[in-house]
Amino acid sequence: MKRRHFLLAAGATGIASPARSQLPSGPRIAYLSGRSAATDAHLLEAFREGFKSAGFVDGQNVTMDIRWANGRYGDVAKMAAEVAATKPDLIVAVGGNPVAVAAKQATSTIPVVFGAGADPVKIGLVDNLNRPGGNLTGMTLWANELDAKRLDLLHDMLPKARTVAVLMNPDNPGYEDLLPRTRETAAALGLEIKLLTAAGSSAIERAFESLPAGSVDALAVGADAFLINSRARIVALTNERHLPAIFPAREFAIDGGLASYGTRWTDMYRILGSYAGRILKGAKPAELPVQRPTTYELVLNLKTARTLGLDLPPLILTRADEVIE
Amino acid sequence: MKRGLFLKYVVLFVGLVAAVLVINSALGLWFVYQENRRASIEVQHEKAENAAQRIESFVREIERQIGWVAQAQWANLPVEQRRFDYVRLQRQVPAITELVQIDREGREQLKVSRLTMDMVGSGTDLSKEPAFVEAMAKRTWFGPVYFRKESEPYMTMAVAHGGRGGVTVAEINLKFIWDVVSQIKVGRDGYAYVVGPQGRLVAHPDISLVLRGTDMKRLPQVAAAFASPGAGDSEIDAKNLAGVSVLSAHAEIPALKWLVFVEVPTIEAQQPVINAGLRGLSLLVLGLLIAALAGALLARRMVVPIRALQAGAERIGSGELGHRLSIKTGDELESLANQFNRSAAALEESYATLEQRVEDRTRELQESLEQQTATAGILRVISQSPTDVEPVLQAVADAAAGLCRADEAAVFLFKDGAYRWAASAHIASTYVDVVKGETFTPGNDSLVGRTALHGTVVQIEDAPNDPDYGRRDLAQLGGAHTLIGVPLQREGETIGVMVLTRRHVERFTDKHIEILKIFADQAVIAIQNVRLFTELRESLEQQTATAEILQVISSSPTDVAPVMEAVARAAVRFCGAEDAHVFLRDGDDIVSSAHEGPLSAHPLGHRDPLDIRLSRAQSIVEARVTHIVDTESLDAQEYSLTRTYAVKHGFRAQLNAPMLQEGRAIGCICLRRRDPGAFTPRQIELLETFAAQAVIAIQNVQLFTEIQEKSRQLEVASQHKSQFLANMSHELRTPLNAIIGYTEMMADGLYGDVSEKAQGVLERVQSNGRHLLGLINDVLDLSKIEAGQLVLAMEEYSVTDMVATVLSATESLARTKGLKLGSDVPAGLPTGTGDARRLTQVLLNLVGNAIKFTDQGSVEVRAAEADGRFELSVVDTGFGIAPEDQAKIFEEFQQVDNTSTRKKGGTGLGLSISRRIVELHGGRITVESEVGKGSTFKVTVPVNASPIKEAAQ
Repeated sequence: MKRRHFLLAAGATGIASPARSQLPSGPRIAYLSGRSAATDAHLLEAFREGFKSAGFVDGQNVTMDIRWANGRYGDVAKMAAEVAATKPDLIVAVGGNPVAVAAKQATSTIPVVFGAGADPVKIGLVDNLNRPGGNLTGMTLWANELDAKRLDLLHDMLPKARTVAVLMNPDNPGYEDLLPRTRETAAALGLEIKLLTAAGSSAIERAFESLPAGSVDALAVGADAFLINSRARIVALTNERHLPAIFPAREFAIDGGLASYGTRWTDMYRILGSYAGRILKGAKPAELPVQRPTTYELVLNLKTARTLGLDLPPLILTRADEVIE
Repeated sequence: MKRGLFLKYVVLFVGLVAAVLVINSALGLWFVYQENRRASIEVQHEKAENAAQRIESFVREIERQIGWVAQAQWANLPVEQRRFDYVRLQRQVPAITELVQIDREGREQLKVSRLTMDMVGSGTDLSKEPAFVEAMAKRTWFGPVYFRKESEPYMTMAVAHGGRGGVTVAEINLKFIWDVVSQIKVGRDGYAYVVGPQGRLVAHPDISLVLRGTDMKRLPQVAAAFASPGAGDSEIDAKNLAGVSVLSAHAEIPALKWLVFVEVPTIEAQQPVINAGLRGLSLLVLGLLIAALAGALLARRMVVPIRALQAGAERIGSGELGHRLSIKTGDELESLANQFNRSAAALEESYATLEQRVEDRTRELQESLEQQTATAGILRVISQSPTDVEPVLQAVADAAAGLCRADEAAVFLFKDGAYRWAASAHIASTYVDVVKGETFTPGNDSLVGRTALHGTVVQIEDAPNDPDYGRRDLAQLGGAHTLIGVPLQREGETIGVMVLTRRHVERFTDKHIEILKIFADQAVIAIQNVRLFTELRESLEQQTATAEILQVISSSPTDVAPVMEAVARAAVRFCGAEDAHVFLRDGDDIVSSAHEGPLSAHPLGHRDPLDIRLSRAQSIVEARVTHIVDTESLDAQEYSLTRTYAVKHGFRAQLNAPMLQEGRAIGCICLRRRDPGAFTPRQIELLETFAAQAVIAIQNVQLFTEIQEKSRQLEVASQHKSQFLANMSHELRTPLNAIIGYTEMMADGLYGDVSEKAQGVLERVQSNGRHLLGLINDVLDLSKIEAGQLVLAMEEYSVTDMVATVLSATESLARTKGLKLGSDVPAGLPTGTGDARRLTQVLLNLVGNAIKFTDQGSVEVRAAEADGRFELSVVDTGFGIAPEDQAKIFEEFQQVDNTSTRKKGGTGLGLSISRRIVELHGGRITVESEVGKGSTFKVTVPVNASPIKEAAQ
């Protein structure tokens, strides 16, 4: 969008500056996101900020080819292959583990900066976190690790709740690993789990429909790109059913979800931007460690709490890093 | 010196100033550098201390915050309250990821985590954990840095609650120190970092280095700091991880045993030094510029008068000796200029005299050169003109007149008893015409005569006014005053005189006389050369002519005509005649035999009577040379025929040389000329030689013809003899056969009984008849051979058989004489080819002879084969043959003439015939013999003979 604006501006002012008319001579990167422009605009902005801190501005000294899979994870392999075929200087693969995996499959030579939710070693993206060894490096949000913590927090919020629905994407590469740990945590907290699975957008509706009214006391949504991409829909469905819920990203809470616990993604994307810049300047992805988040935030939406008629315990309120009134 | 001196002054000046400035700047720079380095390190160190304090305070703040809950009584609070406090603590300190409360027994009572589920009263035994043990002992304990998931740096901090309150353990994510470290600004590109006790990086602005767990001990400054803690900041050459040289300082956080390093790139730290250096450099450049300007000014002041000196010296040097220098500097340069002026004056003076001398010398050299050139020119003319003296004399006259500045020159040569004009130069033609006719004889009268008389150089200073000078007429004619005569002398004899004249009175100098003598000598050499050359050529030509004639003689032994032609040709060429005519005497006639030349002559074969009115006839008759210088002056009566022919054939002079054979003339050679004139003695002599050669040739031909005639006659006679013999033999044999036949028939009683007495007679008749027949057969054979009619009938034969045949035929004869007859023929002799009957005849003849001439002893036939030839020997023990007779016995009709042989009879033709037969086979027959001991006749013939075609004569 910006680029188009810029081109229009350049057209309007004529060939004012010959330096500006030589745009394509700089490096060219591809930004492939599994989500959509609608959900991720702020993350792209964060990436640009990080990229700029490393000295790169799209449309000035670098060209960005931005592509959105719009949550169609079945398409990302093809899109990654297309992107690799254009031989960019770098590929940014964000918005879900499948995108990172597809980028890894698409090229073994073009540097890839990924943002993944799962453990990158486990899903085969890198050999080692501090020395990735291949052409990939990036961030792991470690969002899944927090699934258990989210159940813990949900329990703190609703000490009386006994049955909790857990919404997960079975297509998530971490799914098999995640499920037993969720069950373990639930057992430790004395909770009963009702598992909901959704892999496509229509499946979300179906998952909620399969849940009889009043059968569960609360909902925990797992960290998953697809689910995050459908956050508006999920928040709407959750609130429709008056279900207290905890979500994996602050965006849910902002959009009306009761609570969220997780890292601040914009921070992550800023780091990805700076990593992309460092690689363009000559750093080797094999030597750049995969970074983990350092801050985790609990965001509470008291408006929703009031809508739900909930009275949140003081401990949770103390714990909350941000409260939306 | 053009610009050199100026440049040298400037360079020297600038060099001096530059050296001072450079040393000054370098020293200043060195001190600035040292100071700056010291100051930089101090600043760095301060910054390091500062950073260390900030990091320590960061940690101490966490400790303080934890201490807020770590009260002795806090452990007794209800768990909700404690959890609340821990949550709040985490909110206060984002670096704390996890908080654990351990009771005094070491059991976990509470755990609050950002990542995992909170735990209440799990009771896990942690009493052995160092965090618990150490904190209980020292109240606060800082654990070592460790890395979660092998990448994230963490540190455990444990704070005892005091009393019986247990311990609070906090896990601190050291990534948060990154914020602190990143904010420490050191200069423009400087940075700070923290190294843990094991040398592992704890914090660094580049977080990825920390996450990678970089071991910093490989940096020299870190290694040095660990090696001697607290030793302050080393001066070692530090480098950062990227290999960039840095200025490094560090400070310790004693509680944590961490080292905080502050580093700034050396280039940045030394920026002041570089600036100072640049300042120094610009000052240096400025100084150099000023020095160059000042140097140029100074040098100009020095160089201008020197240049003036140089320019002046150059003008004087280029010949302007009158030039004077004007330099008023009042110092050494002025006195140098004055010195130059004095030298120039001296030079100018000596130059004038020198010029005159050079001029004289040049003139002398010029004359000498001219003289040499003239001499060389004359020599060249001599070498180019070996046969003609004229050009040489001309050249001598020209050169002499030119070199000696004479108006005229002339050369006179001695010829026919007087000195006559030969060549001259510059002399007017009228004078030459006069002189040409004049002859001079030695005497005091003329200059030529005087010179010739004395044989020395004679000079007459003023001829017209010299009373002693006889030929004043000539001098006046030529307008000559001073005269000089130079003799041309050969072996003391004056062969000519060279005369030079001047139309004014001026004596010829000694030098001129010398030159003239040289020229005179050269003229003599040239005359000599020409004479020698002419003589040599003539001699050579005569020899060539003689040789040619001899060659013609030898190649024409039977014909006299070519010789006569050659003689005529040679006579024309070498005897100075236009025409030559050869005549031969034939009885009382003389016959024209050869002619060469353009004059009309008698045709070849023309006969004239031997009439002495004809000079050539006279020459023949009187056998002497007749020489007619001019036919017109001959007596008309006496030489009427000669004069007639002279008119007819168009000649005036004639020379006749007789061809003398044993004092008698057989012909003559006649030379003729159109113009009258005498032939030289030499020519006459040569003609006589030719005449003698002609005689030799004629004699040769005569001899040759005689020999040829004789041999032809002999041949005819021989043929007649052979024919006669052959006919005779045949004619004799026929009646003889009849005699023998009838006698035999009578003896056999065919015509009635014959008395015993008559029988004896008949036998004698028969015996003598047979002997006669044998003789006739031999003669017939020989005559056939000689007539070339004997033809060999070639066939194959066996030597063994042949020998056997001969032995059986002669056996009875040997037995009769009581001789032993034997043979020695080896087996396996090859079959021969030849006329077997004739060869048998030869062998039979030899064996017969042997038996005949042997009275006692033996006769043996031996045969052998070697080298493709048979060797047949007949060995006897007879009388033998004396060596002087051995050659004769093979000739016809020859027998060793002694009593014994005559008794034996025989025709004497046998061996002769044998020899011919063997020779016709290509073999030979020889004898070895010693008187009284016997003879061995040996026949050698080829095994495969081919008849020799040559018929015996």
